[in-house]
Amino acid sequence: MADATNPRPAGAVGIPGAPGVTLGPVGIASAWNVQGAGAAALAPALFGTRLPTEANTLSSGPVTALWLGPASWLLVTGAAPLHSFEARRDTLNDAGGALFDVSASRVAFVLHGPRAQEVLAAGCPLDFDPRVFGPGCCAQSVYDRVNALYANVGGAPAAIVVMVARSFGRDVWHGLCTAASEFGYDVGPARPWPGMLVR
Amino acid sequence: MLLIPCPWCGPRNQIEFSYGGDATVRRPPLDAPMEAWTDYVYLRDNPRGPHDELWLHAAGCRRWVVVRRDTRTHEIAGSAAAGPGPAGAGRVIDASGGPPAEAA
Amino acid sequence: MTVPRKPAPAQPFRLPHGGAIDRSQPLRFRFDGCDHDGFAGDTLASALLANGVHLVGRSFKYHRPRGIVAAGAEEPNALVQLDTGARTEPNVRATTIELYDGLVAASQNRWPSLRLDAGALASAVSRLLPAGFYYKTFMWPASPRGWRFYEHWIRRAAGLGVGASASDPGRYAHRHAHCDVLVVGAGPAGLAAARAAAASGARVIVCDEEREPGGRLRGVAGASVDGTSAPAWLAAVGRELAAHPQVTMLARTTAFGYYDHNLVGLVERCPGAASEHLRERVWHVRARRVVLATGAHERPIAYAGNDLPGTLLAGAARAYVERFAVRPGRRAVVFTNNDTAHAAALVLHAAGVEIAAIVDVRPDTALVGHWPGQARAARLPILAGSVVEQARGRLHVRGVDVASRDSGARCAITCDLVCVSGGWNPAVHLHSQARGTLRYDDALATFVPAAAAQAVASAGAANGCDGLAAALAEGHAAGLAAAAALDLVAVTPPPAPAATVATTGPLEACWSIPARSRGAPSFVDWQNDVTTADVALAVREGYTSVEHLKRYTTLGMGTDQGKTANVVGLALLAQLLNRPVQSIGTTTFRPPYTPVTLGAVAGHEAGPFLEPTRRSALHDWHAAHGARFVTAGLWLRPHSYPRPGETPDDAANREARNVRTNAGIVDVSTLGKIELQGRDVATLLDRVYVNRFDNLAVGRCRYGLMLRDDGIVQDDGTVSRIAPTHYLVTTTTVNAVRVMQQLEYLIQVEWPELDVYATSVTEQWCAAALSGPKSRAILARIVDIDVASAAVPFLAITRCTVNTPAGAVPARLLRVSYSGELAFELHVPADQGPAMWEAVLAAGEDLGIMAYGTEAMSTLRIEKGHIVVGAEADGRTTADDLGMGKLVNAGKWCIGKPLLSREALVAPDRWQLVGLTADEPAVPIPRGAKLVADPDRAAPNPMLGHVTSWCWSPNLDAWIALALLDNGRARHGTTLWAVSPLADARVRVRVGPPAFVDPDGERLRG
Repeated sequence: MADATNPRPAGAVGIPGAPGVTLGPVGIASAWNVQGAGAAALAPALFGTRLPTEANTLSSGPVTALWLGPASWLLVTGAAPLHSFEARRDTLNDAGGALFDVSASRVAFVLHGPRAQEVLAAGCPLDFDPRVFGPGCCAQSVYDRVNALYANVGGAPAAIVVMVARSFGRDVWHGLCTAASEFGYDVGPARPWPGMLVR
Repeated sequence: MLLIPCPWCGPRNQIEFSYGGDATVRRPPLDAPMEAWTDYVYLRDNPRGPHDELWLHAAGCRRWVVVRRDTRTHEIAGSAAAGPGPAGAGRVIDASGGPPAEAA
Repeated sequence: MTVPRKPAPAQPFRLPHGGAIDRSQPLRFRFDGCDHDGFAGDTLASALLANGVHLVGRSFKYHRPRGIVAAGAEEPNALVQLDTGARTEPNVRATTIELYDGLVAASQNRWPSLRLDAGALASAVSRLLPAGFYYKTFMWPASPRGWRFYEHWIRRAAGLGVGASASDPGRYAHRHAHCDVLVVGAGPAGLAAARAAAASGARVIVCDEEREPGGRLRGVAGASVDGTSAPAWLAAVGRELAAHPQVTMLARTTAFGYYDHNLVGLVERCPGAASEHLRERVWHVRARRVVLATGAHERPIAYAGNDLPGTLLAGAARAYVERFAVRPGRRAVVFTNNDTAHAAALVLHAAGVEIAAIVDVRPDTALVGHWPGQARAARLPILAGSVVEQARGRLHVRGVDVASRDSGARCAITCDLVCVSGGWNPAVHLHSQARGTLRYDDALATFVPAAAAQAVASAGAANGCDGLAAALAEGHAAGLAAAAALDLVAVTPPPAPAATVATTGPLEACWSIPARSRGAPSFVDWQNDVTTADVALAVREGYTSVEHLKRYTTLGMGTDQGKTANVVGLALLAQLLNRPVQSIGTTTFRPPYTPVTLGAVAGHEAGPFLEPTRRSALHDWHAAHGARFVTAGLWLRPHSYPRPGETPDDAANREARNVRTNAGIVDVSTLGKIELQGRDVATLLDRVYVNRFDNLAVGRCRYGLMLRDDGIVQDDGTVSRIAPTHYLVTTTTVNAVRVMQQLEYLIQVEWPELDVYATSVTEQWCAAALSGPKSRAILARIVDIDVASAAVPFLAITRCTVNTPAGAVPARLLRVSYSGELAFELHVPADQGPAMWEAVLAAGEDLGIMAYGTEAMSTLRIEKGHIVVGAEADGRTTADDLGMGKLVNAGKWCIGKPLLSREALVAPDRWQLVGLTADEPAVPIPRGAKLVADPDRAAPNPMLGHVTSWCWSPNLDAWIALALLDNGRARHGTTLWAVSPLADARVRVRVGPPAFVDPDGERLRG
């Protein structure tokens, strides 16, 4: 996670008192892309998780399954990596599907706090209003001009995880901090992928 | 900045999409004469009015979609999966029906 | 500030009471080197007027003295240079600048001073500078040089402010926002609309360009709403909306552009002078419905000398009294064709301004409305059926000549203030930007919104609505309707705010008063110095279309975009053509409504964040080891690793030499990597690449060449078969995105029957190429497998584990070579890239391993004759041009193949890839050189080809190049000249095959 733990940008304006937003890096142990129409039926047996069929939602458990597209999902774990990649890949290939290991492809950050929604709105055209993008919602869009995957992992106020391609990680982190500097922000410690937070 | 209806993700900002050109041209059969191939590669209509065009939801669900856009007004009549799409997909959505909130 | 200050005078035109200003907060500011005082709540314009300063600038073309005309965003004249140094901003309207302590501003377009301006000579000869003057005059002599010669001087004479020469230290930001109802304008109609929409349950954003809501109702103590005074009602509604959880109130925020699908651009100005402070923020608001309550702009009437300082729009004069407690003059003549100026006259009168006359173009019988009645009751002198023919004065108005329209009787009236009103134009800009149509309303003598083209409605004065009561009712209805269109309906709808209805008499259209003699010009467009005579000239010369009139005279083309000028100009055009105004139409309204700074447009995407930067997982290692970076697409890649005393080129030569003698390692993570799975991957690959892949065995890789549909080379890379149904494809760095998109298109749209799945793994794998004769020995020290040629032959791919101090790292090992040496690529998960990289370097330290950058990599591949897509394959070259014709499999179809047999692509005289060696080692092959047979031949010297890549070869001690050369393969052994007319450089080159080192490939197979 060396990419993500950039110090605060120079010129950031901290606001005394409670920070408007806390942001910090998130560790990903495994991230596997599952594809294919046949994958949904196999997933509970193969991965112990249900693949959400509703667009732009996630299903949570020991493995979080995020909807990426019709017949494409991202399985994510935070603490424990997934094993037996090749056997599972072959099972899916046989059934008309595919499994790709993209565990190192993305870096992730989590934002929470009263102004988190505004920090995200500085770079993303999605509507993060809780009535539109509530807990359990995920969506792919952009932050500034970088493709980004957002997931509302719950909590109160809700924590939003932002995932971006590793090579853009430092830029996006800087962008988030710059946007957050208006409200004052804290950098939280790195923590593993949270799954769904229930408070 | 257009609001493009993705058949899966709903209305999304144009910045998430990548333009793919005329959706009405068809690759000729492999044994087609040279003339058919030059037409396919080089000839495009430039219609005034509704036009079916390809867009890739590049920063979203990574599906190619056909969008019917009026070239005079940018009004979008609807969109559908380009090609048959995965099972259960390919529905044509009516752009005026859904809410223009940019997340599903 | 060390400049000695002139003593600050009092504020002689400030009224003792009233105004929405805070007298407890005095502010000191400086205009043109002179210090003045104002109060919090002032604008720069109101503070200047409070100090009796009317003259604030010189006009654009004639350098005529100009004063403050308006009280808001429509101001055409009072453009100033705000602030100094890096934060300076030109052409800012003094009427929209909020006063702050220490503000520094200066007038523009004058030399040596505002009162004594050399350029004003132009004013004296203004009849010699008519519309189109530049086009007609400065074209002589008839060559492009003619205009260029004059342009320099004209630009100097007709300039406005100057831009900052230092980088702006302020911060700018963007924000996306969503709402059910966006209300633009927080005047009475806008507030009523916002309240009604919010009460219906809608998410509402209200924006207003002023610092507080109220619009034209601000400070109007005489009006009342819902039984309370207008200021109290405004304050209460403002508080109510600000506290509403569903409502976002944005003050100091201008809606500048209405874009497609109800996207509205707002720019929010954030007050504060600290340099690190956020200065401006652009809001991208996607609104489901929009209510435009943007108000109306008063328009002037053209008469001789109507631009003299001391001439104000009547509503503006009133606003200065009511909002800012400023008397804009001592003795006023009010010139009008409608009732609103009578109300203004009463306000001025009550503030102690002597009303010398209300000159109303309408006959006495038309003055039947409430306000003319009040004016009569207050015994204000009304000259009905009269016009102002001419204003007199030099730097300020000293009086006017008034004529009776019936009798022709004339009289001169002394005054220091002329308040003019020709009626009100709804601010239809956003409605029109949204492609809504306009209708000419005869009663209002102006254009009003007709059909809306998006989910938008206009309300209040923006819709041509007359009076406070009607504006409140219409705004309320528009707010309810906008919510109802989204199925949001209040259980108990709130009542509409109510106000007393004042009767108004009819307006009489009046655009321009004919001049009696050749006196001062009558201005239509103050900012661009367009006169009534210019409009007439344009018509005489045949520019009778409204778009032609605009371009010929520059009417409405200033930074104010003709907010006060356009309708007058169009009406004059209609009069001259004897056609109805409706048939003339308007010019196209385009964003922005008011100027937007480039800083706001850029947001934080400036400097190093102009575009996103991609960094490899090894970036920090490169930086820590002295890498000099270059960009490749969005990526930062190491060019070379200069040691102390080395130039980057020295370093690259050292690195390249070392690869051929010892070993080197280069970061190739940026190459595009795509994984494919499924039963039909080989079928897809056979259709995408020119060569065959159905016979590629598991554990093997193969070079592949990809064509466009038109037969031209698109990209190249390797294809590896990892498992029976699992492949890895690499692409060039720059084409990675395009190739992925194309594969997805083919899988989803063209051949959905194929069982193929794709994902980009560019970011998953950190890749390093280890090259050189000692590479195998180094590799053997750290991997867990046998890497002898028998076990890992050329073009093999296998799994292995790299032993690192941080632990075992799983890797893919590919035996491929770009350098032409014995070489391997290690692909490891990106987060473990640094561990792998450092392990390789440590293992090879005693064998002389060095990291090398893209420059050495380029040298090595030129020496080997390997092509680069973008240089050798330049979008015009075929596989055969590159010497790879045999790669195109004859037995199968692939993309691009049908057009490959086109006559032009098989012609004998095509440019083909060759190698060039310079005859003299000391003379570089010039960059981008063209190839000719005789360098001394007079132009046009036939070009036989051009250099595509060139370098100093440290391994051959010669300048070498790759080139595309007419029928090049037939020219091996000949000599030509590489010339660069731009660099005035030339060198004799020998033509040969495009392979300088190990042409038979013994090294890489070793």
